[in-house]
Amino acid sequence: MARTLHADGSNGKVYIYKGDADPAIYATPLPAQLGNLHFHSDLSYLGNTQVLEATVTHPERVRSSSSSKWSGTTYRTRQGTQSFVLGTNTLGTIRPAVAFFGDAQMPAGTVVHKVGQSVRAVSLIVTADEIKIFENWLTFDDTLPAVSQTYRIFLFQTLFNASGNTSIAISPGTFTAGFGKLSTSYRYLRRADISPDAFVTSAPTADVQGGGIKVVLPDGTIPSQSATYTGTFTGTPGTGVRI
Amino acid sequence: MTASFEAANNVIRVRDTNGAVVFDTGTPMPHIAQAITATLDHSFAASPTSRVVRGYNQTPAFTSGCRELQYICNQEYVCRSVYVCRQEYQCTRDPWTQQTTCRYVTVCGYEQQCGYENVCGNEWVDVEGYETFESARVAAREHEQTYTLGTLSTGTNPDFLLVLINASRTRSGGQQDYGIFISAIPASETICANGSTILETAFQPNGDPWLSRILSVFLEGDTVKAQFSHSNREYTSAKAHSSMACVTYPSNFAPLDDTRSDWKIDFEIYTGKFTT
Repeated sequence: MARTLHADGSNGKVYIYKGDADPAIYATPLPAQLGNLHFHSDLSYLGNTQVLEATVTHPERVRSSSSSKWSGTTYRTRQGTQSFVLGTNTLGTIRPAVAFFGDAQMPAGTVVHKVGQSVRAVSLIVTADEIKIFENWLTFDDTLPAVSQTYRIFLFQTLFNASGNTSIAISPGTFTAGFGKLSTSYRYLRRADISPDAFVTSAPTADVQGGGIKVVLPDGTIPSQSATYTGTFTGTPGTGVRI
Repeated sequence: MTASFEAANNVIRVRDTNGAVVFDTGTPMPHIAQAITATLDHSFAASPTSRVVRGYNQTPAFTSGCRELQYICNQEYVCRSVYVCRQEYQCTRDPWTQQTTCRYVTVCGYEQQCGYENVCGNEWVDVEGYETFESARVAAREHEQTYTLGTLSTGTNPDFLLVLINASRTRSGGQQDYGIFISAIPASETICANGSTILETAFQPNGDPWLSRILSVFLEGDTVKAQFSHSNREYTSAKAHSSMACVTYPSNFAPLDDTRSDWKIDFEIYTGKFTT
């Protein structure tokens, strides 16, 4: 199918769409037309993604010295929290992200280390200055030894606002259109059905049943399913994207 | 190398100076159809709780601290000082007449008398106590509650969501074996929450969870929804409480668990759509 690039000389709007219909019908796109648009200067995009990979050494969490936990009345669990800085937020603002633990996309609250009933779970924190991992640990009968875990983060810049007054321009070093929203200065999130870097989804990625939990990622992998889970959740495939 | 713009074979492509593809109609880039913000307060209601008896025991009298008043008779060896009079046959000789006169005379005085006697009376006596061991039990429960966070323009049909939340657990449920439920959701921090988020978990002794609570943000047509899901299997606390009484086995004393948790969550959701 043909693709059309249209730059409007009167208002500067630029849009690229499927087909060769009259450009005027896409000047101010309706919701039903959004699927036909490859690019439109009125819309907002995800670009300039920050990719951050960092390894955190979660320190040892020592269990209580109490030796009598399952009999009598001496129960001494220990629980605590700690944040670890993965790196600087180069976007300088809080933006949506996708987090990986190892090779798997990581739902917030993921258990990343377990020994017996002692566990540590983490979530990804995004502040305007830093990207951090928040750990909540709990020990009971077992000490959690120090463990190194690698996290990979894709932080997406949202290109909401037009910048400048350039409708479309190409020079030996740059291409820009739509008042800066389409630019060779950015790396955009793009669909990738083969070897994607990550998946985006519009569906739940976990289910609880029988007290247990099952996580099914948008790529179909099952990073965790507790033995206590009794449901039939199969997840919903997401869409692969490349940074 | 220079940046390039190509329009060929029904494909429009832009490359940067490194030759990397920045834009390609064959691999569409999504746009953000709409950003939605919302705030929810959700309460995970407490699961029903009860008490279960783990065992009974009778405690020895000497340690029970229990006493009771009993009418008790004992054979006791008793000695008493008794005023006793006796007839004694006494003879006296008159020194003048050299005659001896004998007669009975009464002689009285105190003397010690001992013997076994049956002594009875009310006495406080140490007795065995009655001890019960109880644990709290949380009944199994499954529950879901779904909220609408926002509705997009009709026909938008977005393809994905990128979700940020700022969550605070304003009331923490727990269970006495482990304390409050473990949660890796930091208070008042913005976290990445695409798909489902594990809000709270409680583990049983073998390490598998017996209670799980999650939040899922998802699309239903043009509506963005948040679903809070709770699941717990029956859990009997490993921690046993004991209580002792002197008359009968005590009951209903073990403290119950309060599994209710309340959450306040601010959502910032980006709805994305690909070229179809």
